[in-house]
Amino acid sequence: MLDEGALAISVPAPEWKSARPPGSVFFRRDIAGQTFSAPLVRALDLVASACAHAGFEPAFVARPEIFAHGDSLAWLMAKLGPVRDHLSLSDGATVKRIPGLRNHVFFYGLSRRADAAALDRLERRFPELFVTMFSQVNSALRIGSREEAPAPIAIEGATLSPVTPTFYPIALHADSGTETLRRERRAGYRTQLPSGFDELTFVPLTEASLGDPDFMRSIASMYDAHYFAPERALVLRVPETIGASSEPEDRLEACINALWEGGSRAPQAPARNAWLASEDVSATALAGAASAANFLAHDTYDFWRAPPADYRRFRSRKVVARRGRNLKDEFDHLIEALCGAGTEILWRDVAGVAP
Amino acid sequence: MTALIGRPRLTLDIGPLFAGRWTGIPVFTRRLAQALLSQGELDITFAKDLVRVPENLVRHAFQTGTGRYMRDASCAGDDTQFEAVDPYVPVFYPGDKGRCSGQIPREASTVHDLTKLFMPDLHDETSVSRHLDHLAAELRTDEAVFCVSQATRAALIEAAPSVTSRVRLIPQYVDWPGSFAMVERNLSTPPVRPYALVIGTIEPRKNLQLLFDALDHPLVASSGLLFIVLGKEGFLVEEFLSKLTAAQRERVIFSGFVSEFIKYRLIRNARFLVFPSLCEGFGIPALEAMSLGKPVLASRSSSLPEVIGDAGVYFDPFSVDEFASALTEIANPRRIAELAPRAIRRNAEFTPERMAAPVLKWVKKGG
Repeated sequence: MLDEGALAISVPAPEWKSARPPGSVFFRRDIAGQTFSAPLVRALDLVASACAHAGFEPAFVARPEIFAHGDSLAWLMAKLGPVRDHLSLSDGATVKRIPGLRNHVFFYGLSRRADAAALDRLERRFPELFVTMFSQVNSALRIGSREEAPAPIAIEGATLSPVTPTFYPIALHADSGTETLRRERRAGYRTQLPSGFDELTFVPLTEASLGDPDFMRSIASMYDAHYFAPERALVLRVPETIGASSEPEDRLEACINALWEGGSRAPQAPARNAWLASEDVSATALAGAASAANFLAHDTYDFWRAPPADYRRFRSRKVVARRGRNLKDEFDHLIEALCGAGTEILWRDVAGVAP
Repeated sequence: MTALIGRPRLTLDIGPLFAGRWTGIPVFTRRLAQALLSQGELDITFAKDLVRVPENLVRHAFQTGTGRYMRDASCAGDDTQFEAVDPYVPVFYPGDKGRCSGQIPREASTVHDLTKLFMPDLHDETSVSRHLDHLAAELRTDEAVFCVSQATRAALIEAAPSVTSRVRLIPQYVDWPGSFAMVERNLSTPPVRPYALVIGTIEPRKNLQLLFDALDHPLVASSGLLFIVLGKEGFLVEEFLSKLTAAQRERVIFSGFVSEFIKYRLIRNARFLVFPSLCEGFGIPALEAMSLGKPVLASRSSSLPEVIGDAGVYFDPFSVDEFASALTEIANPRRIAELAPRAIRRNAEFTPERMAAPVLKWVKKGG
């Protein structure tokens, strides 16, 4: 995709809600200053960075689906010049294709429940839509027919978001999100973890993972096991959004509710060694708090958010993957490429495997 | 049993004609029914959801241009009036197949566009779910799938390559009642300043925002043209119209839904048609304008170049500058004079015979 020095990119139309393309074909600099969702911006940064590394600037196509045939397609091709590849950044609701080009898809928001559900619906209705896609970027989904799912390709993460996280002690109580924030405001925000733990486990929760009962049962058990083990620490990163909301209360509340529903039996008093983190936390920052840091993620996590070097700083890396959702061998290879060799995949079928 | 002698039989679903106001698929259904009847090669049974509809009711609906009477008459009958169609006769659906999908061995349906699949953001969620579930089911059971344009065919094949061999084209045509021309000749020219006409439901897919954004462009402002938007209000219309400035409203008239004759008259007196749509399955308003010798200022998207051919001037549907330049070109009387005969010639290629032919071929020869 990046080896021919030319690429066209399209983004989901709902991302244009507060912006308007300056034409059907344009460059990213033409839309500088326009607002898109954080996951899309991250995905665009990733692809742009990979293109820059390969020595070219990708073009953008506003609505590739309107150039399906004849004169309109010929006009688009003339505009695109040497482009032979098209990358559809997809929110799962649809996948764009440009006839005559090699089409690739990047599901950049599958950590969001709505995107995952939309893709499920799309695949159920039009499984053949994926058959002629050349590749899927940073996913190894079992989409379309088993034999004909697009081949996964990995684009490694470049840098982790530099935003400073806030850490909220986990406390399972009623009116959880608002109450957590209220208590935290009273106590003062913590932007650094205390140090001196023997071991720390970091789990970046996704909105989709909150809806996976098996996974959340495992996380609730893990929280319970940590609660009275002061030498060990647990950090759960809260999802960036819950539905359309990015309000801290909603994000915290969703996580606390998921721990409740996962069957946690820990006391309701705030934990002294378990936190909800508002943002991603680098392995380096975590390593400063404990002698060793571990990483555990659900297969809906955007592994391309951080570079492989970051993942390698964890003592252990585990990924809980669902067999029906992913292509097994391909997922193994993808995770190895994105998170480094030695990352353990905990495969589970429907019933689930406790991490 | 299929008749062994005589004309081949066809059941034509005329469900869309039960609508009170006929636009889009109901008009397509009416034109197809009349095209097939005029060919006289088939023994046609009209039906809705595989229940026969008496031909006299359908012919009356053709005359009145509405499905209201047919709907009322169908509901008024007792149960003995309702009779299921012969399952051994092929069924053609001018729209989607609805609740009876897959009941008859030989079924064909019509795909008008794939916008709910590829542009779901432009439709409400319920309509997307319903339509796509139906379409997916139809593709599994159709012996033939009819697409209204090459562009729609190409989009369908992108989504479902396995249907390729079953896809047929069914291009529409335009007809106006003969009385329209005579009545219109006797009326005076409407007392409005020179205008361009826009036809279509007011909804995001029609891309009227481009036109409104362009109103402030020096080239468009200096044209002095008024824009008349003819069509009912659709999805997200309130949000859209509320963004219009007072200055923009002065240049645009919204007529709402109008009768076929008013539409005819508005086209007849327009300079040209503006068709800024992001995507069309076919684009019948373009052909309607061309049938009256009006060129089309159209977005270079989907089926529009295929339908309009050399009778239009095209622009990038996302470029205000291109739109303004193209408008300047087509507003020039010399350019209009050049394009008008091409519009007539191009429209003449879309005939009832051409619309009926693929259906006749399917009925006679099968999938």
